[in-house]
Amino acid sequence: MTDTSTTAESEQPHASEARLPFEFHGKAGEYFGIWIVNLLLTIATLGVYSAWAKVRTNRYFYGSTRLDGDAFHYAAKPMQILIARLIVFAVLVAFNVLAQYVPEAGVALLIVFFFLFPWLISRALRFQSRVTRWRNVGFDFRTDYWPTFVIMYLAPILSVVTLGLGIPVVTKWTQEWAYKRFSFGDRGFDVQVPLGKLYGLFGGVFVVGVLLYVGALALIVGPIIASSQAGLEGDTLPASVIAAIIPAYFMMLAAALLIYVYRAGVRNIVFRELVLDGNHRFDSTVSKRKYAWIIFSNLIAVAVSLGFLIPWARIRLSRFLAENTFVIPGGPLDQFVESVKETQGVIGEEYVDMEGIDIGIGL
Amino acid sequence: MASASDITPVAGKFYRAGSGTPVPARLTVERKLVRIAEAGGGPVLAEEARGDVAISARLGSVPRRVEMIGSWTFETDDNDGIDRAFGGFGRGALSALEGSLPAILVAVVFVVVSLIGITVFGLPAATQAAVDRTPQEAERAIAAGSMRSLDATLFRETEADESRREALQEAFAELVSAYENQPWAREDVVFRLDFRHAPAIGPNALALPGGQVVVTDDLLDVLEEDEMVAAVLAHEIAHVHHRHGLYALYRSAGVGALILFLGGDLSALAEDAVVQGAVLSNLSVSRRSEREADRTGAQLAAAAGLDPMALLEALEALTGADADEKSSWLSSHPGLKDRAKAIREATAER
Repeated sequence: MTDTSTTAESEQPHASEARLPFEFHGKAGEYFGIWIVNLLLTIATLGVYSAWAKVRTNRYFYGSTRLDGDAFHYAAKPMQILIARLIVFAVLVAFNVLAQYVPEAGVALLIVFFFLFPWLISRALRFQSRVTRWRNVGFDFRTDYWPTFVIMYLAPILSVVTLGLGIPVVTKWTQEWAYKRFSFGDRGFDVQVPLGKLYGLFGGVFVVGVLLYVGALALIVGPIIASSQAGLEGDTLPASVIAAIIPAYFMMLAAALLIYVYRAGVRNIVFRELVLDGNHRFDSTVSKRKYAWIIFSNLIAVAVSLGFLIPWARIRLSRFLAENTFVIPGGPLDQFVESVKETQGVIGEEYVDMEGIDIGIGL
Repeated sequence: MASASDITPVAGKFYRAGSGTPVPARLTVERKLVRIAEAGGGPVLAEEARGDVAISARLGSVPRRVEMIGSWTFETDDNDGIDRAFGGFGRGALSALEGSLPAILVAVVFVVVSLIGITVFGLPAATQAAVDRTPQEAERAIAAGSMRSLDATLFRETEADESRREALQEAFAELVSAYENQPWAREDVVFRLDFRHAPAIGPNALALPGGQVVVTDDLLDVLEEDEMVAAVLAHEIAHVHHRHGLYALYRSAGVGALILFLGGDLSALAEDAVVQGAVLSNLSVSRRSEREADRTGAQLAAAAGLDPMALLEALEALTGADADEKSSWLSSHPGLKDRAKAIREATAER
């Protein structure tokens, strides 16, 4: 699976053109201080500071990411986030109390939430986009209700009824839905995700996943069948089963990591087709193997360090992703940015939007 | 204030409102006036009173912004220059804390100690306090709500023999009066026993908050002797007495709130770890509640003239396990061996 896709990656037509790399300047040591002080003040203020903590964290990561020499900027105000969080918290508490006393009203509210969610999600995406700025221009996200509804509820149903075989179609829909609504100032992004490439990627991941699961199952079930055929009866599992549990567990874990392999592949495919304002292109060279390794080793490092390597793990992942992402300008970037019109008024003054629901598009 | 270093210009980029074109510029602060001029001796681009501009707080080595909201933005990598120009304004205590090794060490110790303290002492204490302050009426309303939703979902009408149900109602009434005669009994509890057919939960008995006890038909099928069922009822009355249902409810809400608030600064993985830890600790709380109910239930059974050890026989019949089974940290109920020991001790205490 990986062999064919790596050759495909190096054959990309973009490779020879001038590529502007994203740079990441964040340092684990510097972020550790920010992270631990955030935790300290969040605990000391019984959670109130978490809104300020979020802004500081995002400001750090956005501000440490640069393109063509200029840093991104996270412009959300802590108060906006605090108010949104308090609303979410109050609704959750009210809902739980109501559901305890009057379950019927709880069910009715769930139906209301069901229809409210697509609206909330697209508003949250718009908020996230608008507070992301580069060279004094904010990104934006066009919200509409029913497409969001379809992506949220109907697309997952499709992947279930096709027993997972429809996943690439769902991926295509979701990615195109998100990027076609995304813009830098008034200049839209566009993407046509090639379904064939997604199926190529998915096929490889699917085959490896099935093999890993079958292998793990065979390791566990094989000895049980063997021992029952040998006529051994007893309460305890045969020793060979116990010996197989650990390798089988690691095979399951590897299968779980395949989700990240798939996501990395999707990112590469989508970024190569992504176009900004009709002529600026992108590239993503995330190696699937390396990405899965970073996710896996981060997991181990965080677990072994009881969480204290979280800052290091986050910085490491952000650096890896930034270093493997490129812009291929279709013309002078300065002239382009000069012509971009801002789509929003004064940032942070005119609206308090729904926040508090974190969703990432792609990676 | 008027020393020469104050007016050393800070180099950066100037953006007009709504423009993405950076103009190389220099910023100076002189006599409470912020002046930004084009680099290389060019014209003045902006001039504002120092109190009218917003200066972003220092954060690591991230670029600094000086802003006239709605008008212009000046951006620079020269964090020290901005601190110097504005006399340290915006440098902020936070950035000082975040960059100081002793402060970080103190923060590490504080975070570890308080996280342990919150989960080991704070959460149980807060949960118990909330339980103690909940009025009986609220508890009964919760139970009525739960009963309605269970009736609509898992529960069906009972198909158990009517004369047996009547006999068990009598045994239940005797246990309740034995409970009410205890000096430590709570006065405001209204006990009620109902029978339901509930194949989804198998042979089971539940104590909802506020005194509502439910026994499933399957339980009556497995426990053929009424004395065994009565022992189970005594155990459920004990759950009601200790308000274990309410405790579990509040506890999971508290854990949820804790995860919600700290979640933002833990990674997805660490959040999983916290959730798993919460599940494990819920199980440990559940085992503790069961032991407590075993002890109190055994005392009640003995007070009502029943054999306290009948509970053990009932549990053996229900689980199919033998009495040598040990407790495991992955189970919601203690092992039978431990429970037998606890029941013997509780009845011996009297």
